[in-house]
Amino acid sequence: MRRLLFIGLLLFSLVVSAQDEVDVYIVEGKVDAGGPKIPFFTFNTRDQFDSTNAIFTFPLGIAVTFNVTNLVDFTCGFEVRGWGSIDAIPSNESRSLTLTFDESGTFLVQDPIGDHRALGLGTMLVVSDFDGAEYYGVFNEHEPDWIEAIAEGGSYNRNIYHPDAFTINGFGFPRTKSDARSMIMGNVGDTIRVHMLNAGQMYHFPHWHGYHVTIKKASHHKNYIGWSKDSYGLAPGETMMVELVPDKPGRYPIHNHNLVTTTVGGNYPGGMMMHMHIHE
Amino acid sequence: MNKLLLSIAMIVCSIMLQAQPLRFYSVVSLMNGESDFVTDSNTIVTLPTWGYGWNAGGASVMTVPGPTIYANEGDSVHLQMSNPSMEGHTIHLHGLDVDEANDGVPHHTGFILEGESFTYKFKATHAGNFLYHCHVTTTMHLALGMYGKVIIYPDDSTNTFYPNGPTFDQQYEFLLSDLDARWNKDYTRIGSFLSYAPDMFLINGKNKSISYADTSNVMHGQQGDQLLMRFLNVGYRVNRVVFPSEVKAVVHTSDGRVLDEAFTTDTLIIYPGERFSVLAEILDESPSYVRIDWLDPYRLSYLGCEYIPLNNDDFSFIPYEEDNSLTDSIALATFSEKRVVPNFKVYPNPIGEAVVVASDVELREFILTDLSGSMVFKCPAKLQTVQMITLGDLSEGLYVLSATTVSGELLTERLIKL
Repeated sequence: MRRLLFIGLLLFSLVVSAQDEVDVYIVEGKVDAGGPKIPFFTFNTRDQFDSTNAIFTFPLGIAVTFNVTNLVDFTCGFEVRGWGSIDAIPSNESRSLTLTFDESGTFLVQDPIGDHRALGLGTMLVVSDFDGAEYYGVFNEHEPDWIEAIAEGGSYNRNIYHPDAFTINGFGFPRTKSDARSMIMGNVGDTIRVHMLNAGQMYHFPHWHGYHVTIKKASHHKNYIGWSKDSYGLAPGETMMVELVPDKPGRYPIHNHNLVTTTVGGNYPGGMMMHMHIHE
Repeated sequence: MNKLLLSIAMIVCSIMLQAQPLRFYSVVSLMNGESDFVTDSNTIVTLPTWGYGWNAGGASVMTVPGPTIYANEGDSVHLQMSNPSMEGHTIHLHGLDVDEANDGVPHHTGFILEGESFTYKFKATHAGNFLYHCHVTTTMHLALGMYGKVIIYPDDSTNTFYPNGPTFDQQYEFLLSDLDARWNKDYTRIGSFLSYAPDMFLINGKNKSISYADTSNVMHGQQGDQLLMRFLNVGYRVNRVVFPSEVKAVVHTSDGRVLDEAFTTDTLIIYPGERFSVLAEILDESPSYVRIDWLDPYRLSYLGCEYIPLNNDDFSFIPYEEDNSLTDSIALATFSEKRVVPNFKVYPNPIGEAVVVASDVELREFILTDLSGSMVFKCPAKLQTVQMITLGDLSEGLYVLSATTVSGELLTERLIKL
């Protein structure tokens, strides 16, 4: 299992790391969160649907050109919050955006048009000069009625929101344990950095078993920066970067403490729960 | 030489270990409790509860929340859980940074089944506020009442709440939780866990008149007194603590760790699983109260509230409501951040076929919805602060015009079409 995770992490790194030109495709498909399949839209680095949004990682100082192709049948956009955006990409057309990342951190990538992020079009971009192990968790919830209405131009009530699937990097537990991006593997004494994003519309509340983490950066809860926490809030669209140095081995969950979200198909356990495995 | 040093080190360690007190607690996990609650119509309802209790006189006694575990910093704590109930349970020591064997996660270390017992062990490394709860089918077991507090004091036996910290005159513990009466009435008929819709908002397991009759849920103090309030949110909803002008509230710790800089606030947001220690100086000893709001995780919309009376022994529930249609997840302030609300004016109102929108921030998009929330109009904004938008021939009624700023904030204005 560890070998598979390592290979997955290596392949993932090859796809989206340290490139100065990245092809991005806006694609449509279905996501399987363990219950009924629900419609979903993602940013991918291939022109085929993948329920897991690409997570973009770049070294500090690099200039990157994003060639974004919209393969869905309505106009979408592409924004790296705080850096720049392509306001409109008509269906089956491409646009490019070049950004020079001269500041490290964790950033939101989204379609900035209306509530398009609720379609699934929200992911993470990390600019890093860190030489230790880094992991990534994009928290998201999925409301099929909203997705259908937004994608097909219908109406929906913004005051009513009842998502029925909850994922991290597009996976619900236990599938999160096979996701090399969020399955934290480390040794006692390592400095481990974890990037989190709430790509959803509602607040989420990660809770760490076994450890407190130091909050290094937060885009909304700036008061948290420097605090040592085991539980905290992630506002919609918020990015956060945390670090820890494990002092004991073991397997520890990291899950949302709104425990309704640790379900799949309305049953426990599932949903927003990732894990950490620390070795001696 | 090395053996001699090792022997000396072992002897020193043994002496140190013996000097560290061992605290032993014993609890039982039960599924047959009952508690009284006050409904919105001010009647008393008795609901089944699950929870942790203790053995007394040959019988098991259960409360919600379960017994509080107290220890001093540096203590070793042994918490034995016996399970006479028919389902498996565990204890997760939330925030105490225990090892895997004592973490209470059943998919790692199994269940404590009917008739079994297990002793959880941990070292109280930090003074502060912590939780414990069952981690078996957690969404349901916790919601039905299987939770309690762990309070760790500093070991210097003074009126401080962390080593070398400020002193308090009185201290209070407020465990905040929420309860869906339908779930407790009959847990076999819960159905999907997505159905959770709390309608009882609890302070130390009590609400409304039952809470105000509990002396531990009513604060007292004189002008100049420092009241230590320990807040712990074990519910699934967000708490907003609103302090009265009669106190000056300073937040000192979060999640069992001392903040680098304490901060003063009149409002404190506490997310699920979070804990805070607040030292509040009484500025005016007139009767007042701390209001606790329960907010939904989506847009932080208001669900309900409870009160902690201060110097107010005759307190009764004060109805309080908020207009959720104007709340938004991005727009709400957290902690002591004061939201600066951008100017956003729409005229004329009542509206015609077109309106002028004026704002002191750049806007990205306009959305017009009717009172049912259905979108009737949507257009991008021009990057200018005054602009005209054509709404077309709308039918009579009330509408809400929402504008998204370039920073993502949502501004709204109610419009009337005659």
